[in-house]
Order: sequence, then structure tokens, then C-alpha cells
Amino acid sequence: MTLTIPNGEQLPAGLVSPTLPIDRVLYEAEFPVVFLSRTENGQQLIAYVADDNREGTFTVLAPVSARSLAGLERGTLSVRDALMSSWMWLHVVSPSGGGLWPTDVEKLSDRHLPQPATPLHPEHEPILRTRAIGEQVALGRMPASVVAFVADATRRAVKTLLDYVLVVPSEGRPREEHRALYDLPVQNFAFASFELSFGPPDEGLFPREQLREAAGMLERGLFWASTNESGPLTAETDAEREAILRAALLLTPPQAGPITAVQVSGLWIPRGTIRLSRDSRRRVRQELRRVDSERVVSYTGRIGELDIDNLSFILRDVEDGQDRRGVFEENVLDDMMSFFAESHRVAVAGVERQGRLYVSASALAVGNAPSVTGETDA
Amino acid sequence: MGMPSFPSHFPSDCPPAHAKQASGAVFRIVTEGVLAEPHFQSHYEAGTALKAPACGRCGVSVFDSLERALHRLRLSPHLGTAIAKGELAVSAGMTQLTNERSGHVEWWPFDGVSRRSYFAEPAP
Repeated sequence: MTLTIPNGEQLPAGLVSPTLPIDRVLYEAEFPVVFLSRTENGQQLIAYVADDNREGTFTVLAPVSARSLAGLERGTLSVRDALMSSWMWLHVVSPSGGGLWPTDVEKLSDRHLPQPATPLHPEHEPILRTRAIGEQVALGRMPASVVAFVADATRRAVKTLLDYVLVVPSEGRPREEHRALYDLPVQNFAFASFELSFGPPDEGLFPREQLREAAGMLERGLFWASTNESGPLTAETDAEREAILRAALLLTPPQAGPITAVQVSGLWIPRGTIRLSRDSRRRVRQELRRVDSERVVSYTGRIGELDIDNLSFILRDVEDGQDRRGVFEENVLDDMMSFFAESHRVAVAGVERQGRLYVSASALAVGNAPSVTGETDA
Repeated sequence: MGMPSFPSHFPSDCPPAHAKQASGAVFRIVTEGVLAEPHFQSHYEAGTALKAPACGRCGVSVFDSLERALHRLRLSPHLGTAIAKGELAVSAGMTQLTNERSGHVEWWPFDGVSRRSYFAEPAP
């Protein structure tokens, strides 16, 4: 559907020049698409070419403040939000008669406005946008758990795949870099449903190819989860399949609660927006059962080595005599440091997956006493 | 077979002197349906963008990366629904990167070449 000359009453002549001056181009492709213009009185306007078809050139005009303009150019304000912040006009140049009309979102339709959260420049595009959808997911009545879900699910899904691709933890990598892998910077909030946009990790720190590999896996897993295809998820190994499925599972909506669907888009999802439902979650869980190597475990021992940069440790003096290498969440770090420094016997609990121990809780072992040797290996 | 030439409706100084021989990957925003020659019309052929510079109107708009093509599509959803990847060769015509930031590339195809033949179907 293309835009046509509106039927409604035109605005009076003299507000804007019929030729629409271009004061500064903000985004240009085959012609200026977003630019600054002005009214005949000199008030600054943002202009967006909504359509350029056989009937004419249709440009949406809206007032723009210096602050909004700065936000646009920094990538913190989307083009759509800049256009919709106040009133809008539709400027038409046409061989069959142009003019100026008042307009709004309903008259323009989504096809003739930028998609929500689209920044002015491609380098400001988020790598991922995660949107939670549900009847209760609206500003004013949205539980805080929705915000936590969107942030945590995205962070953990990215972490799952980057850990797999980069075989993290490896020795000697600084902690801040490790965190930079998956703790993506939040670029934008949006409350039409609830959406977070995430910028890329610092690509100077890690090989671009591996980031691309992780991104490709994420898209593959999410797309597979969103479809009804009967075939299994394709992957080179069971370990890869498991990593992809675990990442996908994190981004599917829980079977109960306010979130009924999740949409994921962004540069890492080049095929477009992927919508995940509760059926997607069932599908992923079902597939995961076939390759799942995860088991819940608990060990008691002494923390013999602790790497606070990598959040990793070695548990020694375990009952079965076998040392266990593991990683733990940051919220357990203080306890782990204390247990390590004081050489206490500790109980750690978590899961083992693909031979790696992931600790989510730790506590002094029952009947604990300081280690006899008191030696440490770190 | 004679030297390849450009369609007769091109202005006399078009493509510009600094345009290069086509080569490498490009990305085109396309509409729904099986990819066909009409997906690769220039603005001149489609009768659109009447205010755009004459030589630019004779070219086919493509982008130098998937990310930049996707951004353009999100910025202007009316342009299409998918991105087709192409691999241009010298036989395809001439190209010019017209804007480094947006990654817009003007492609002036030689007269009579199958534009579609350089492109793969977009992923579903």
C-alpha cells in the first residue's frame, strides 16, 4: 500500500515552503530520508520521507528540540519517537497537486513510519531487542519481574552461547572482559509492552568471528523454537545443540505469569523479528531432554584454588578424592572468597553440564572445621 | 558480442566517472514473493522518486552490508519485507558507494543483463 494525497482539509498555505528546504541531512540513502527543515517562520522541523511513489513525495514533518536532535544523533532516541513526540504534518509534493495536511499514526500506518526503536544510524542499531508481551505488560501495571526477565533472559542466553563458543572460562582473562562478553549495555527502554535494546559487547576485546558464531547460533535456536517444523534442531555436536537449546529456552516465555510471548530482533537476528510463545518453550524443553547432560549435584570439600577474575575455582579434598573444577555466579563470590581465605570445608550445589560444574549456592559444610593443612594453591 | 552498454534512457554522464566496476556482495531490499526481475527496478523504471537526481534514479539501490540494509528496511518499512543477498561481477555493470554511513550503493546495471541472476532468494 502506498501513500496517496489525503482527502481531508489542507493546512493553510504559508506554514512551510512547497519545496521544503533541506537544512541538514541526518540520514541519506538514494536521497535524503531524514533531514532537518523549517517552517516559514524559522522553527526547526524534523522531516522523514514516508513514501516516494508515482503520485508524489510524502514527507512527515514534526517539531524537534535541540535535546531530541542530540538524542537522535547519539542513538538514544529512535526516529519514530522523535517524529511522534508532538504533532505531525504530512507534506506532499506531487504533479497532481501537493500541500500540507495534519496527520497521525493511524493515518500513516506502521508501513510509513520507522519501526519502533529504530535509531537514526545503522551503527546505533542494537544487537538484540527483547520484548515481553502480555496483557499485564504495560506501564503502570507491569510487575517488576517482567523487567528482570527481559534483562536476565537476554544476558544469560548470550552468556550461554559465548561461554560455549569461547570455551570460557579460560585462564588469565581479566574479569571485566569476561563480564563484557555478556553483560550487554542497555541502549533503550520502550514501554509499548516492555522492550530492552542491547548494544554490542566491545568487539575490540574478542574476535568478531566468534561473536558472529554465537549470534548465528542464537538466531538458529530461536527460529527453530518459533516454528512448527518437525525436524530436530541441526547442530554439529550434541554439546552445540545443548548450548543453543539452553540459550533459546531462556528467552521463551514461562508457562505461567504475565509474559505470554517474547519477541527478539536486532542485528543478531537478520531474518527479522522472531516471536516465541509458550509452545516454543515446550518445544525447546522436549528437544533438550534428548541431549540433556545436566544433572543436579552437591559436593563437599575445600576450595583449593580461586580465580576471582574468571569466577572459577577448584574444589579439593572431596569425599571421592576427585578434584572438581567449577564456575560460579557473581553473587556467590563474597562467600567463596571467605571460605577460601579461611580454608573452611564447604558444600557447593549446582549443576554439572558437559563435564563442567556450575555452582549456584555455597555454604559452610555441616560440622565444618578449618582445614587441617590450611594450604592454598592460588 | 559487442561491448556492454547502459540503457539509452541514462543521462549522458551516467554512471559518473568515479563509479567502479561492479564486484562483491551487496544487499537489496525486496518485497514478498519469488525473486524476479521486477524486484530490481530502478526508480526511473518504477516511476518513483521524481525529485531524486537523474543519474541516481537510473541506478538500483543496494547496500554494502546486511546490517545496513536491515537498518534501512526498519527505517522505511514500506520499501519491502526481506533482504536478498547478491554477488555482483564485472558483467553486472558499475557501482558507487553514495553514502558511507548508510552504506547505500548505487548499481547501474548494463543494458539487458539479468539483475535477478546475481541474487539468491532471501532466507524465509
